[in-house]
Amino acid sequence: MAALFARRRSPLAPRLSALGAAFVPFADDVALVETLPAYHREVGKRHREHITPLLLCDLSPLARVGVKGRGGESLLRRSALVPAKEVNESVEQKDGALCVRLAGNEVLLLSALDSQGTHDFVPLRKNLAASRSKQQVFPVAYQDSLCWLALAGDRASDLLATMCAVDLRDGVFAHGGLAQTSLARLSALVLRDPVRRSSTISSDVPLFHLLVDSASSLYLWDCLRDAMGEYEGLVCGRQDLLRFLATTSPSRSPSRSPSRSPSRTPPRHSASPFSGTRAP
Amino acid sequence: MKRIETSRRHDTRWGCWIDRRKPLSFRFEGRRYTGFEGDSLASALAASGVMVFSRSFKYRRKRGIFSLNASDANTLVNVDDIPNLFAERVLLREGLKAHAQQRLRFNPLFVLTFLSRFLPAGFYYRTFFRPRGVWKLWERIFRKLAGVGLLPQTKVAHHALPRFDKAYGFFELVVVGGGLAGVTAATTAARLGVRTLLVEREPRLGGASFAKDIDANMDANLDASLLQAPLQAPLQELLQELLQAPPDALTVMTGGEATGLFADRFLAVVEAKKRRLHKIRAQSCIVASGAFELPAVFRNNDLPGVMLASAARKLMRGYGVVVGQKPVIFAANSFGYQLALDFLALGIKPILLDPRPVPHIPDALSIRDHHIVCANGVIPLEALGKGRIQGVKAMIAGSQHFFPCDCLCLAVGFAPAAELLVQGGAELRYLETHHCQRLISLGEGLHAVGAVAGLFEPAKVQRHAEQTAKAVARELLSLRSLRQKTKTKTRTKTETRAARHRAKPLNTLPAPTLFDDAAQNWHDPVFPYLRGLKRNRSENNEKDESHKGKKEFVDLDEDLQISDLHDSVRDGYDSMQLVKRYTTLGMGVSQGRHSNINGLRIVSRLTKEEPARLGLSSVRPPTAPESFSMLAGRSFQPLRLSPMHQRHEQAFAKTMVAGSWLRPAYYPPPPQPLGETEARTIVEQEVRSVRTSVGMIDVTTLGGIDVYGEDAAEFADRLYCWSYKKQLVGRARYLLMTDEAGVVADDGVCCRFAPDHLYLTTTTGGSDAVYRALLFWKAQWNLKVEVTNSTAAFAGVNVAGPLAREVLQGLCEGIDLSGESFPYMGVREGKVAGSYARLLRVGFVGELGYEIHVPFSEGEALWDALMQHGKRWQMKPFGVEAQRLLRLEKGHIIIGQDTDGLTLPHEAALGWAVSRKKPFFIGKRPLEIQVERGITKRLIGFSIPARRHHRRHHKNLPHECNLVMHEGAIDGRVTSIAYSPTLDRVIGLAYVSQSRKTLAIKLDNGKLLQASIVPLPFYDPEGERQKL
Repeated sequence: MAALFARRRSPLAPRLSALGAAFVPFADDVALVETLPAYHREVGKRHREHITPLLLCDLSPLARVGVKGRGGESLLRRSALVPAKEVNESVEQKDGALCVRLAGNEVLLLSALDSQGTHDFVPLRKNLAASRSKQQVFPVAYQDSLCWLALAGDRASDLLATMCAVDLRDGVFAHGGLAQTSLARLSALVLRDPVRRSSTISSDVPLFHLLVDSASSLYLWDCLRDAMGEYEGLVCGRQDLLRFLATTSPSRSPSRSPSRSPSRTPPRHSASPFSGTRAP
Repeated sequence: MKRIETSRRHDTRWGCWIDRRKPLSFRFEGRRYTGFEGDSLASALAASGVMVFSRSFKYRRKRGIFSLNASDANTLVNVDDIPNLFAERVLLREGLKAHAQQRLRFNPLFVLTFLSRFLPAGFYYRTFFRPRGVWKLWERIFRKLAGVGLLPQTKVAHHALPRFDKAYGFFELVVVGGGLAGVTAATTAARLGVRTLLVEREPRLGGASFAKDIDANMDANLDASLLQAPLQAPLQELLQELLQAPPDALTVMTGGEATGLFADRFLAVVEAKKRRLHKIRAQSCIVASGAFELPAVFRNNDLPGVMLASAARKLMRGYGVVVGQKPVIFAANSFGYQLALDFLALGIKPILLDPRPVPHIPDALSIRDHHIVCANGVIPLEALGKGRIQGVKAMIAGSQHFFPCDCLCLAVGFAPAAELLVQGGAELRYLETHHCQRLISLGEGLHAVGAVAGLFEPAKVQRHAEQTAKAVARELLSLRSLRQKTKTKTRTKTETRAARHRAKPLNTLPAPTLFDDAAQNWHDPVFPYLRGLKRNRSENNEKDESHKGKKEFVDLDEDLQISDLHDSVRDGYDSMQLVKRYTTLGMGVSQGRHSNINGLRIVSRLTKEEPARLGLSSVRPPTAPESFSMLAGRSFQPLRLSPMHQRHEQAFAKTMVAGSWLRPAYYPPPPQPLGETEARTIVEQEVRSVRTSVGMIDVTTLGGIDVYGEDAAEFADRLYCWSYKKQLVGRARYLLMTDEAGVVADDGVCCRFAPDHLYLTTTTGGSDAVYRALLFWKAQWNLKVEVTNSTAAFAGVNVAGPLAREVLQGLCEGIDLSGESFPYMGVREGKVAGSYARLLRVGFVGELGYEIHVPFSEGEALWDALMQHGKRWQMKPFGVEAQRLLRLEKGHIIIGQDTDGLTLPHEAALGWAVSRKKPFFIGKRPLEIQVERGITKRLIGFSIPARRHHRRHHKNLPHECNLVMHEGAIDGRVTSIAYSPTLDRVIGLAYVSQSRKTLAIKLDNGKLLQASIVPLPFYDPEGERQKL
């Protein structure tokens, strides 16, 4: 397996290996799961049953950089990056990367979902090394300290409601919004993907980025997999996720809202933890 | 097995909740019965003629359906091995197996009913407390006798256990109760665009609003539409609208019970069907939880067949069950009269007994043309029958009359189901004018509609619910728009004022003038007083022999009689709170719903205090029984694992919990169960391996904090006891942190990688607390530093032993490992096995050692490389147990084990790590004061010569926390102890008050063991080995 020979390994590699994932080399001695055979077997079945899947994907091998200090904002501008204006907000960069403001002087950068892994944040890293103490700006090792998961699908906020006390529903939790909160009793960053200018990713399907302490990532993975049982969730690779986000739109998901497509087959499972008997 | 057919169903269109086309068979107490889909277990049993569901708690009297509202213990059953389920809440399904909680047919404990004279309330804790300690024995017997259900005795596999879950929910408005009032409010609010959740405890909406009630103008032949319309017309329309409502605006949860209302409208809702506990935050809450019907108190008022009128109505209209062919209705209000008309609609002529001395005109008019026998001024004396009701003895105009019957329905009044509102801050008061409680104020954001607010008449209910919902919706929508505005711009003064104005709590309670007369309660349904019950029970018994063996129950759940309340008041427990504790009134399943008001009336009569002044006992959550499994739900217990954990598992490591981490304790050979002695042998082998060659341990769990900035050293100087300003780059220094009281809080190592970069390590369990402290003090002091928690950013491996340098030399790039260029307490950055690494030359285990910190994602690769490379030197991993032994030999302390919440550095032999010259560090001044006063205890090392049994079995050795004795008094305690394979003696650390040559340790068996006090460290006192 590629994961076993790559020097840098996702903390979730043991779980993905157990699912039969094939790791492929990615960037600097890192292995990544691009696609999962089990996902393809299941997703076809879901389509036949008119169920929009809920996807969980490990994006830990992708690049992320943390910058902390008073000179952070100017460093980002010098590196041709646009910082988010407000704390707990994120903004998309030209290449599809995300800049998330964690605090007044702390920023987290997440690489583009379709990144090739070789040129992520190169100018920023160079500038950071060059002007560390002069500019009062310092690196934060988010690449290793945080594990990165993506949760996508219409029922993502319903699933998160079973383990997070923040209201993450559509229309309440804004696109690009960040919640620094507790997820399954674990300190976590929950980021709602912003509205993308990129045409390859649909912003209509809720996509959440979950970033938690790497050492707790196996624990959170197991919690999410357990909760996903109710929502027919699937684990997928990065390419599977990108394809899902590129092709799925609300009009194609019959279980998204019965009111919008009343003539379609109703969902086999309730879409919300609150949906109860609707008939007296 | 004999099959019992359903025989008590009436053949009409009533029974809107069941589907007669779908019969279902089930078993109760081993006998087979038949019901229909939609039936509850209680209704199906009632339809099959089963009247006895349970035996009572104390006297083991037979009990049957009483309230049918999941609010009394009479219908508690065991279904498919799950105890304490309300039969009316158990939806019938094919093959269901139910049992009573106690033996139903012949229960020898029934004899207790005749011994009741000797078993007054609280007899057990008033009688069985002497001699001292005997209660433990009796308690076991009483608990066994209590008979409150048994958990399944067979073991169930973990994966086969049902799943329970929790979920958070957020709504602008939550409406509790799905009757006419609740549905009206929810639909109105949703129509106006408010995000609403409607919660109804029953599996269906509609509440008590079955059909339009028969009024005085109805034709004597009865309106056929009555039998066809299952629900009131306006409610049917509303339900249609509700079904059409977009799910974004209105969510309906049937079968969901709101069990608690906490601060800021935080609701706990249990959804049994989905086995989920919802934690719901609402901006506003409309409670339409209705009212509970109150019982009357008279002799044998617990006989099966005596039930509340609302229960009878539910059975007849909802489930199509005829509750009796010869019914007697004891009616003190219009609801009883309506029930009489219901019976009449089925062709059954009831007898109406009314306690009101003169006919109530509207009620009398309602039955005028139906030739129903009705008597006024009736005082019920006693229900008669064996095992089930067969007749009622009543007093009319001073003479006793007997009315044969097969069911007695009671309609004497209602109490608002206001538990949730009271929890939210609402106030209930007993109104003498209405002989009941009424809400007089509501908490912030809370509203009451329908019967809970004192309205019963459908038109009034609907109008008030609509008005309330509109007012609430207006408030919520204005708040929503204000919130959206403030997101985009700063709030203006006018808007702030408007917001404040809007924040005023809305008063949506109906005016008392609107309260329905129809719902008026009978002023005193404790009828024994009306027939002359005396305060003294024995006196009363002498006068009325027929009272012998008869009971007048106030609280059916707890088998409490009037006499128990008399006892309470007589013994001086005369306020409602005290009466509750003394008698357990209202502490049963119903939580006083059916008993509190009558209890209040009795105590009021006895103490001659007004009920309003006596008050009521507190109403605490949960308002309905919750299962432990529901409360526990899916448990979240975060666990941290190092990136090498998979490798530890593959090496069959025995793991242990350390703080929030799972760490390898030791590495036994391939899987075989190890005894304690074998495990110790493994640990000792690991220790020898480190002392003689080389070993490696996963130290990822140690906390790591990066401090950047020009004030980094100043920051560390203020936080820690030692001095760090002059610390050289490339050097490490011991860290000792004290809290504001000068007590040891944490320790670690401070590594200086650059003038503006410090890397501080912490203990495994202390990293989060230290990081929090650093952030706090950073904000306080406003120094030019940035602090980041790098605990999970680095994986760590400590390679220790005389051969450590040889092992690492082949793996390091750009780092000279020689003792001259990389001395003890040096730190370097470079590459190890291809990974960026921070190397710390520290000696926690007392040997030449290198702590290698690499990025977390590369930890497993480093471990693999070390294992592969170390084979030549037979390097093996060692676990936490060996590490603890190694450090003990070296005399190093573990914070938290060798210190406690009061230990000062000087007591723990750490005075050397406290700088006297520094002007400040956290805890400096308190520490100085303590030291000036004198140190009262010291950590010392002790040793005991090892004997064979010490080496092999660790027998007769002291344990951690064993006391150190001196002249018969406690002098200190042992903090660490172990057999040292290196030194071949037992060594340990202990606190003592003063230095001596020996100390006496008290063993678990009480004997004293003498140990010699020896200087620390036990091993390599000169520290030569770690400085190699």
